[in-house]
Amino acid sequence: MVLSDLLQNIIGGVTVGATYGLIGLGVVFLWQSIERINFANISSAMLAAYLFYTFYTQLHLGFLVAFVVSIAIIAAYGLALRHLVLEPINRHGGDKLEFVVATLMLCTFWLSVVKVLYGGIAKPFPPVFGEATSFVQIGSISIPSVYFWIFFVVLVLVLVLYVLLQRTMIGKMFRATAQNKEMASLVGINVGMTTSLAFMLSTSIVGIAGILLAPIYFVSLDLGGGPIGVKGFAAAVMGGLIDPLGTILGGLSIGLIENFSTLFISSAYKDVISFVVLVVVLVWKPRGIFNWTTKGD
Amino acid sequence: MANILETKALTKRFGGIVANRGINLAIEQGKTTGLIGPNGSGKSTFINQISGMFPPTSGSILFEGEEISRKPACEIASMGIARTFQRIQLFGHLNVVENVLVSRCKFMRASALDIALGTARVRHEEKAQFDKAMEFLGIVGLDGDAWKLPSNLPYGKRRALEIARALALEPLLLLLDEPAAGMTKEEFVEILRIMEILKERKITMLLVEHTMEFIRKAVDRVYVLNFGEVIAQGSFEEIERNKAVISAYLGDENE
Amino acid sequence: MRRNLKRIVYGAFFALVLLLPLLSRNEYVLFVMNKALLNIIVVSGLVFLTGFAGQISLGQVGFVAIGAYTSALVTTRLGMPIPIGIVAAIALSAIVGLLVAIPSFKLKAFFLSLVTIAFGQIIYLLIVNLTAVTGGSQGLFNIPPMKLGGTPFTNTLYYYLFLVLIALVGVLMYRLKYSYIGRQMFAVNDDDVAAEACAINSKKTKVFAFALSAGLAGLSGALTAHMVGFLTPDPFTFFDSANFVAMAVVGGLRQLSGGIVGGLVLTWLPELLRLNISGFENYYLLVNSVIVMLVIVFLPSGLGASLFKGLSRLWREKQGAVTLRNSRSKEGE
Repeated sequence: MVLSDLLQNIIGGVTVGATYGLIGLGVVFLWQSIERINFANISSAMLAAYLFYTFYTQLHLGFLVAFVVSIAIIAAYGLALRHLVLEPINRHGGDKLEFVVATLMLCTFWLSVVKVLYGGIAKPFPPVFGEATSFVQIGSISIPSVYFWIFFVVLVLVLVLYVLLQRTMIGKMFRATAQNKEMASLVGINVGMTTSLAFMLSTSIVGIAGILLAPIYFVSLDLGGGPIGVKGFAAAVMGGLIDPLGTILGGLSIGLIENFSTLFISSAYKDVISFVVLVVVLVWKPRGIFNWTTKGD
Repeated sequence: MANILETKALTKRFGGIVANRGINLAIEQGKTTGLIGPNGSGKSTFINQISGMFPPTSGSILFEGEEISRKPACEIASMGIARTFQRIQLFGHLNVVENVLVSRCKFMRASALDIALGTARVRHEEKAQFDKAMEFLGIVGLDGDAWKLPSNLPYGKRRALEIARALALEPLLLLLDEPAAGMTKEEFVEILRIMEILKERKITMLLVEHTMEFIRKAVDRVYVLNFGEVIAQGSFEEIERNKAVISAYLGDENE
Repeated sequence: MRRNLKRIVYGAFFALVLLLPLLSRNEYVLFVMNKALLNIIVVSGLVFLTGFAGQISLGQVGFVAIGAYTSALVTTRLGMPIPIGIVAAIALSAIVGLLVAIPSFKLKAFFLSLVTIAFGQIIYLLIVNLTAVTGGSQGLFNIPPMKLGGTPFTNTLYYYLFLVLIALVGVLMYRLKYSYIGRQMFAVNDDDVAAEACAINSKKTKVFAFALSAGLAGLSGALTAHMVGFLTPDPFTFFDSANFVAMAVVGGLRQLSGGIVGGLVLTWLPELLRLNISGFENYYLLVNSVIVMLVIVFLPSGLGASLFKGLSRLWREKQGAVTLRNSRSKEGE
């Protein structure tokens, strides 16, 4: 009995944690290229979930079409972020703090837009990943079939990203730009395009995470605010804000910590514990605990 | 003659790289000691260790006989070691005289409560320290630029301001990290003039430099660093004839 | 002539501020105004912390909450008089501020902002979950109002009380800014390595800034508790912290007026929008966030700075230096 409880929590923690990892990746890709944190990072998750809901449930497009269109819009939104928020702030002499506050306001903005358009009540997520009640029984453990989907998608995505970043020119461009902008542009890397790509990659990955999380959190405003967003940041911080693999591992650990604190302490305090972990990691190892990108000094 | 500062087997490692290896160096009271060496030989690391920016990996630093290698930078500065930086580091949002006044904070005795109540003590102290700051600006010839922002000063004057700011601490030892780097001919002459004034005032200095010409004119004793180690020491004339030094410098130029 | 103009403009402004309760008998206007004044106290602290000392806090509402609940509990559970509650609130907030300052020794900008977000969230979640102490999401009720000769304060009385407090806070901030302490803040903000080399203890400086801004937030929280009479966790979310930072940035981080301009504008803006965009409850938040974004993008030094730049152009004055009061007259010499 106890063992199956344990296993169940491990599986649950890993699954949800994987999506936190994806949200963290959104933070990491942007940090790598422009050393900024988009505090509206999590908004992309909410927007993608609502877009998917609109296309699939309301407009009856097929699953794949709805998915692709939603993510394409989110990617375009990433590009818009660069040109309508980042660049104008830079042009008018604003700096990091202005970007922080502007994106914080963006977060409120999207929450209120969604509230105006869809109302504040959560929408049930269409059962594209199987019915909410469908479970897969393995021995004494029952796993919601959604979890398999989430895990599958995250796995595919991580592999795709790995190939993209390690085996293609894009990865090289990213790393070069992250290390030194002037040098990168001197050796002929298009820094502007890299920045655009970073924005688009950042928003679309978080968008996919949003669609994956929706069966668990419903299509709701919860997807666009506070706690989930902070867990994404926590995952990114564990990867030192630059190590993509470390970020996924960070997400997994946060998912696990949160599930086990629910099991052993109380569900009311699960968020408190994740935040305490975030602070401890930041203070104890500001360069991240799963960061193999930079060798320590 | 007493040594104001001595380092014993001072070593600093960054990961696998040894930036300073077992450095024994003594700075004599009232003299100007030079520290030269090719780029990357560990000169700046040495200054950063003495001024408390990096804690040493091992070894000791004795300042007036007291071990300071584990003390925080602000305490070391407060004890009387002032410094300038290789790349000028001024306070961009404070004007010229305010930059110097920052160094006078350690002489201020008014408490936060005094300030909140706006007591006469605060006003007197501010006035006195302001006059003091103007005096230090006068030494380097910047009293006419007191109300400008540092960003509006030409490069040479920014260097001079950094020196004035360091002087305002009334230090027992002044560390100058490449004060003549990147200067034009005229600026170079001006910085030499400031060095002369400092020597007249009997200020003990450690001068880190790259250019031999400047060192020749300014120092009493020279240490030469290469790959983090002291390879020679002595008067400038002795150093000039030293084979190891010549090869270190020629090797540097050949690269 | 120019000097007279300056006198007239400022005179009119102060007259308006002083006479507002007489000009408007509308309780709602006074209530919103009081809220604005309470926000000004918090935002002034943030201007000090972020604008002067360069330390970001996205969890400032945590300190407000600590102040509010402390004073409420001290006066209700312990039955102590209100002034003791307020002093306890300021003290406890400032002490927690000291602790929150510790991560700032090592962490900068974004990393620090994440710690402060986590701090704000932890306080919020504790309020929600420690039901026995805080009343949880039900909240605390029957918090005693301030009294004058046995009768509770009216909105007008609160208004004047807050004005006096803001004046005191303003004088305090002004004196600190133009003292060596202010100079230390600016130095640490610009370059903490160089500041340390000038014998400035950057840790102490950061701790002082955090404690002061936390204390002011605590004061504001305590006053809110007694003015409103009840407390729920609702106004203490992450978004409220974000809103305080927005007020500071919109007002202008580098000058004392930033807190006042930002607090006034961003307290009134949503209220005015809510009144004028009727029917669609949620639109006002939307429009509000757009306006704030526009101000931040196009006027990064803040409305306060632009306002004063415009005004000083009007009476042809030069902008002075940062931490020396007499610099303006000297500059003319």
